[in-house]
Amino acid sequence: MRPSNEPFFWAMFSAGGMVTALLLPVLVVITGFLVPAGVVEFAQLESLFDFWPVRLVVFGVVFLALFHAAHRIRHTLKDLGLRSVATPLAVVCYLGAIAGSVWAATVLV
Amino acid sequence: MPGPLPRQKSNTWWNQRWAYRIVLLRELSSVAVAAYVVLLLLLLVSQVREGEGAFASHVDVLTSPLLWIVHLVILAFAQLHSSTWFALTPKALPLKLGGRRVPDALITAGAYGAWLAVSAVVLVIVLVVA
Repeated sequence: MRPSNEPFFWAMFSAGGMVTALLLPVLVVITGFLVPAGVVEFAQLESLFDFWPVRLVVFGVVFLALFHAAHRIRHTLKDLGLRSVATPLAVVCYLGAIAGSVWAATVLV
Repeated sequence: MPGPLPRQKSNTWWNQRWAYRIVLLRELSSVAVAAYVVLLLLLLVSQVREGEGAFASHVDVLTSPLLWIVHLVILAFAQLHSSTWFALTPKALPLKLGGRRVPDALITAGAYGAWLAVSAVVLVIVLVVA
């Protein structure tokens, strides 16, 4: 059998799926509702992001969430009819995840 | 859970049964995940990193009714993702203890317990510690 990179992307999909399942609802509540409502203020956010382990965790969550989404969007679009362009589709999806991760790294450094 | 997906003769297979429509919504939750990450980086993390001035000048975007609705939709998809993911956790991670399989419902309940614990810890860190 030809060596395949599928297990790698599957592992990233699974890890990202678990991390987002555990964390995303509470993060959306905080950043989408509590921050706009003023319950969480700038000073609190600043002190959180000044602590480098917080930035490292945020980067890890962003990285895994993007690879999870890329893998799932890729396979969903394939199942919806883009089978003839499966390879370019995969490249575009994973490149998007890589680009987003690089952006996150530059914002968080 | 629905059985295996149908052999794909058409591109509208997902609109043939409610179980398939829900599967498609579950898969589309990944679009909400990606959109949330972009919004988080764009509107919050990068502004907080740039300082109070940048944050203050962008906070009205975050507090706009449109973004409120967008976050509500994202929250619904995030919760759909969590629920469907925990329902499938026993299939992906079958556990054996003392030679006996742990019941699926127990694994799913454990995942929900972890979800509650993680959510509580994050809320305490953001609201109390910070």
